[in-house]
Amino acid sequence: MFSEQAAQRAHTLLSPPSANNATFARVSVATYTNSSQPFRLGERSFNRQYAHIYATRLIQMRPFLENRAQERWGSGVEVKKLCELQPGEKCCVVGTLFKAMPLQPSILREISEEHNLLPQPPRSKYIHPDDELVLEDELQRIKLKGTIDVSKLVTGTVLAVFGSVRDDGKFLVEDHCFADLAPQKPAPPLDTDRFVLLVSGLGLGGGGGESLLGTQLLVDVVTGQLGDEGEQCSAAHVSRVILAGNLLSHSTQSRDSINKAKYLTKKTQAASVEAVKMLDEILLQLSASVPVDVMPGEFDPTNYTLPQQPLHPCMFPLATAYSTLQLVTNPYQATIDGVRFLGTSGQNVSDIFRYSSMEDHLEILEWTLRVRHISPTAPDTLGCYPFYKTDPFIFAECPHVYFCGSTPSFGSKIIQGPEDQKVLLVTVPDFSATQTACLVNLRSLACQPISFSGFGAEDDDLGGLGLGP
Amino acid sequence: MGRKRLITDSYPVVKRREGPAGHSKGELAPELGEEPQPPDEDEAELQLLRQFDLAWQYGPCTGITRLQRWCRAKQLGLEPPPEVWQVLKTHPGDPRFQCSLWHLYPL
Repeated sequence: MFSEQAAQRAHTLLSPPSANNATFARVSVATYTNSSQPFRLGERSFNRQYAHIYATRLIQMRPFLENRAQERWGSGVEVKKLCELQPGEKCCVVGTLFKAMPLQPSILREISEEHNLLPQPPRSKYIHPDDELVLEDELQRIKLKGTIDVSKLVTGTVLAVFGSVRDDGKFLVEDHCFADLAPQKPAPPLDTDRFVLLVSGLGLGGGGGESLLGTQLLVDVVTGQLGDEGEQCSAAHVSRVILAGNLLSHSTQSRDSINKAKYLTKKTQAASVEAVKMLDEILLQLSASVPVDVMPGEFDPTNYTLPQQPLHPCMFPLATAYSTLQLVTNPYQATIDGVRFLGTSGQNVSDIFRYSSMEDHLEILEWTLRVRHISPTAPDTLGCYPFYKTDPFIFAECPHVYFCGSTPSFGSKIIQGPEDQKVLLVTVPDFSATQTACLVNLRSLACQPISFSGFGAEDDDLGGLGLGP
Repeated sequence: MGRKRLITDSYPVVKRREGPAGHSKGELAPELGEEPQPPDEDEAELQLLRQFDLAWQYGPCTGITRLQRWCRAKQLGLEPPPEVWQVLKTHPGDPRFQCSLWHLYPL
């Protein structure tokens, strides 16, 4: 798509210099609105418990689930509360799931001295065949058994189950359903090809020289300093760049200096200081040419709990001179040329990956859309701000492009919803590992990976000698 | 002849001293007269607010003020009783009215 357009123009490299230089004007963004207001936190108060966010989640999702239950099991199906259940009677119950996992790291078990347990080493998945599902509504909870996939579901999902309660006090599930996709406003058709570049996991400060070359190549392609006239013309069609998190590498987070004595760490600087300076220079080059949205990620210097607040502009003294640089929140929502984008830096998907049997990040991304919640595990295993008024992670409206960053590999898929919603799902891979970014075509809603590797072939030779990465 | 001998004559006579602020038994009567009217009304309103706190339909009540909980219930469409809002509006700033039943207990 991108390279076919580029190949159509005549080759001008290695030809004598011409009198007039070709210039390409970048496509201007016709309309842009940032709708991440629900994710901005003003005054923060941590004097509340998390019961409020679960209560509002259930209250807000209940009407959607009751509609879906009636569509699926007939309009005559009775939706009952747990306290009204009669044994043996078939009915539908709406509630929040809780998965009791024996392998889930529990701080209480770790510090309990009577068990004398060593802290559990981190695992990639915490699922176990003995996991149990419990459904909770406003007043009671009940164990679930039956045709429900225990290993796939995670805590915090709101769903509707159809079945009956048995004499042993457990609920026998025959069928279950989720809230499915939210209503979607159709995107206005565009006349020219416009691209949005999605990059994630730049991993600066990680010490890998390879990824720096890849990052510089990326910046050069977007700013039109690389390639023939064809590539420069195609690059002029990129209307926006979104950096989806993990701009700094995981190694900048090491806190060894805290444990060392003061006299040893006197002149040392945190690794993130140098990395942020590099990031500032890269953002300066990018924002001089194209509007950039910077989302914080897991290893970036901002708060840990979701929703992560934008990085502070004081860290980027050079780049903030340009108004094209926008520092945005972690779940980021915006409408670019009429196409609604919604994405996260990947913490929600990787947290569900740890507690569910689903293997593919693209599948998990689709599942969060079907459950109508960005991160159902939020207060339980993923840090979250104690909201009390509303749960801002519920999808109020279905986006056209839904992405998540820092995944192990690139993936993209178009899914259909029950009311003809069409969503492009994109898993943006970690750039420091895969040197791949994603180009989303706003006109046709197609996504294409673009790789910047420089030394790919030589890696195999070096690997044999043990010199490769 | 003299007065009849009473049994109380065998007890020592103790004069009652006046209190430090010039308080004497006579002053208690007007104070007692003021109290009965406000506590009854207040008590009824506080009882109404306590019942609002304990109602499960509007979600958890700890950690937020009653006004915040009422506004949240209104926004989510749960139709909270308007009398509660009237009471909360007439007593702004009074922690007995504004804070929930368990606000004195930590988290």
